[in-house]
Amino acid sequence: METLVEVNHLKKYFPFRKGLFSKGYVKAVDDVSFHIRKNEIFCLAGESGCGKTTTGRVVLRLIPPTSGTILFEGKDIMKLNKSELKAFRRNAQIIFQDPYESLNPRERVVDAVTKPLEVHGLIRNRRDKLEQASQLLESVGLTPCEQFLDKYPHQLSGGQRQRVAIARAISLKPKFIVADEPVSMLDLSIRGVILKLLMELKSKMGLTYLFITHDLGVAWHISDRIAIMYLGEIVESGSTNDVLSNPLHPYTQLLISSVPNPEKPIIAEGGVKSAVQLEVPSAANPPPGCKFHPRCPYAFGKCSLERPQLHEEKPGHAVACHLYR
Amino acid sequence: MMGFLSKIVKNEIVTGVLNNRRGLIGLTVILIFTFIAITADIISPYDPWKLTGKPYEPPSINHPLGCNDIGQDILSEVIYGSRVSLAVGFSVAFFSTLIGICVGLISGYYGGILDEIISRGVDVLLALPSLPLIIILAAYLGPSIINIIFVLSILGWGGMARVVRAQTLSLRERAFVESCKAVGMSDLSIVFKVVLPNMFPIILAESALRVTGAILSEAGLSFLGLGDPTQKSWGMILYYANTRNAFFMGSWLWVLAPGLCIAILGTAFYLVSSALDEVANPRLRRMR
Amino acid sequence: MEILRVERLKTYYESVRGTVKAVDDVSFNLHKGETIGLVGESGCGKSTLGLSIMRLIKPPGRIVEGRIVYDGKIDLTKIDYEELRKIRWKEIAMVFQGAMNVLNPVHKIVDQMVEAIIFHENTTKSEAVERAAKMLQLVGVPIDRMKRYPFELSGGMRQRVVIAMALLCNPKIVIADEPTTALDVVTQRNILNLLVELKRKLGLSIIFITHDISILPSISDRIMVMYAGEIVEIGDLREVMNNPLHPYTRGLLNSILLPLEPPKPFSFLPGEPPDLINPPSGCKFHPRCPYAFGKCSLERPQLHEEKPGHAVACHLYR
Repeated sequence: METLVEVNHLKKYFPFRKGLFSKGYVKAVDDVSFHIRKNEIFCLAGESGCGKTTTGRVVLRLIPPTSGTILFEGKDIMKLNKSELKAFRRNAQIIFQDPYESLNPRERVVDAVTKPLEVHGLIRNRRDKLEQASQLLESVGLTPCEQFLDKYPHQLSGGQRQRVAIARAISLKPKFIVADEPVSMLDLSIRGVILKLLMELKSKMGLTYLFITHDLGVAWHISDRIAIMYLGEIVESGSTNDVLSNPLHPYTQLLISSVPNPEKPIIAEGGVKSAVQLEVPSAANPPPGCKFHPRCPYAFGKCSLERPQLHEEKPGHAVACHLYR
Repeated sequence: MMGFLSKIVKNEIVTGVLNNRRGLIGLTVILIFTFIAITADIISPYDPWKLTGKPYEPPSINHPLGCNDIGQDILSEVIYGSRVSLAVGFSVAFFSTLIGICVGLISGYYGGILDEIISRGVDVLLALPSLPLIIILAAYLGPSIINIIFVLSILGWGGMARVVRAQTLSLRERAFVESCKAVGMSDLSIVFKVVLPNMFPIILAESALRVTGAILSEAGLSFLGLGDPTQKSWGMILYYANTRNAFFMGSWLWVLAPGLCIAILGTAFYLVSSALDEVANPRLRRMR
Repeated sequence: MEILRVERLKTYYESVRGTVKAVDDVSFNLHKGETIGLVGESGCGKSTLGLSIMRLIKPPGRIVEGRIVYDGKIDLTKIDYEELRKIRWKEIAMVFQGAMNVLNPVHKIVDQMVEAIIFHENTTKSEAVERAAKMLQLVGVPIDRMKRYPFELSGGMRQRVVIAMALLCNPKIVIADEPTTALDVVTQRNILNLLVELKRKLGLSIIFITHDISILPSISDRIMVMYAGEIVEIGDLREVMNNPLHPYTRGLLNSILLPLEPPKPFSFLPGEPPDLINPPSGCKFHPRCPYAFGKCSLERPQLHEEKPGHAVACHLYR
């Protein structure tokens, strides 16, 4: 299967002022490599601060990388000329987490969903605009269209807004969509609608998704392959089935065991552990060696000295951990 | 563009101001003065330049506010004075807003070194003692209404630039602005078509304050003798009242009338600005 | 033994568009030492219910009707400010939603805790500091964090501080309003562990408010499902989770997505959350209910006990 997106040794560091004269770096993305195949749903999963959102932004060239390359259909996106860049923007779109913030409060739905078409000169006249807008609303299930075309975002519910955002994202008939936590801010009972819609659009339009989430339950049900991120690094990757059924990395194991399961309620472990050991360290000052070692129940000498590299432990299932080698 | 503007103005901002008590009062006063300024030729009892009464004539039916030192009707002077004040006020507000918006948007959106340099420049501009500088420039360029508008505009855009920059900084991080980038909109398009319209209430609020500032500055300059003697502005009326011993001669209305007008019109714009602040930031409404 | 009884509570907000019936005739009771989980989606009124019990509803909202009886004796809706002060924080305390943002950013943790203690009880400053330190230890915050500012602490740490603050005056009842909502899944598990521990050690009675039904089994004994300002189902945790009676409860449970499950089609509830100003007639859930029939749009179903200890408000049962 051909590769659509290839990310190689991506780094994104954000500088900050430490003292009067010294500079520190928040290593939001610290040497990340992965590839996304055409027509698959690739999931980037991890807790907040792990760098998944930043990675998504860089892959779409919304912020520039500090180093590393991103290839889209074989071409380096940072080296595109003007017309190639315009084509890239047509082919790669984004859906944001917050359905309210991602829509311009001053724009009506009809304008919001056709804005990308206008920017690329694909709207002929007012009637054409209305037609295209209606078609888009139909494809995301906002019917009858007349009811929604003239509304402003604040007049719609969260689920409806997210559908408008999706309509906008597919308006240019892109090949690739970065979905950044598209259902995290929606009520539990309507998440299914949006996820179902995303799957339908994928098969109808032949889309490829980079699906960013912190919810492993959603990741399990929607993605084909998954990469678990921790403090800017990928610690485990492979098919979703493999990684979540047989997690190799201790952090993946911790994540899975922390997912609240109504059938297996969490029993209190005796005594209150000090919160320090359980906290995620800051990305500005990560631990040396393997960044997970202070929280790892299996850590040994090497772990605090050398950063483990991602290597294929089983076919199609890679892990970055000194336990395996 | 015009259709777009009128839609916005009709919907949110104007209704916001009209529903606000202070805004309503302010807007009414402004409209009254504008009406007076426009219809000055009709409603003014006399030509303010003609000598229609006796020098220092006390108030009477013919001259409700009396006459000045050479016999010109004060009421007519004050009526025509509204023209100058409003003209200067609106022009200065317009130009300084224009400059301020451009500078603020560029500085806020692009950030980096450009932002640093521009911000330091604005800091210097705001730190300069404005009145002495205005006086010097006005004295150097010569007393004409055009020069006064020019000087006040050049020195007055700093505040607007700061406000616009702050708003731009916060707006550019919002998801709907990022989505425009993802679609391929050019930076300039994003800045003027998406970011700027979301700041209209605040820009108008600042603008209204500029008008007040301009009216007061012009009055001050004229009072100091640096104003345009070919214009009947409220400040010029006060200048003559002061230098020709109005109080000594008992013509306190000569001082009170223009002074009150300056105060009332200045306050009216402040009230509208305050109402616009609340439109821009609904949280302020609840705090009252 | 009953420690709190809410009877026919109605809390409405007046808005430009009309009256928002945030809490619309809610009745339930809380037993000593029990944790009841209050679950409902955004806008269903669960936060308002919590705030009503603490008498923290400010205009344009107010408690229109109903009683909240504490300890069988005191009606919280009728007492005056002085008596309320004796109860708030000392008998009933609240961990607020977005609690991490509730901490004052310009004061050190220890100062805020001491201020809270001194406001409610007559102690000396050094005594208050000692109590604060002990409480922080109890919730697992290292003592050295006391002298820090809130922004220096992580989200999970701040949540622990806020929990500690709620427990400062040794209340009997704690209302926790979405205490883990903004936290990562690992931190969430730690906080839930902490709450279970504290519940046991201090004999607390807890009303745990959340929109995430999947975390309730970790901590609650009973569960209460709220929709559009009403309680639609209430009962023992295991009973409701295994035999949900109300179609909304069933819809919610079906919507839970867990890893390692067998594949299933994405399930969801059709339609939109209801408008609390002009709610649907009769049963507020009927427009979205797959089992709705004639009566449902006409008459509001009353909460009645379908099985012992398991009540539901639905016309399907009667």
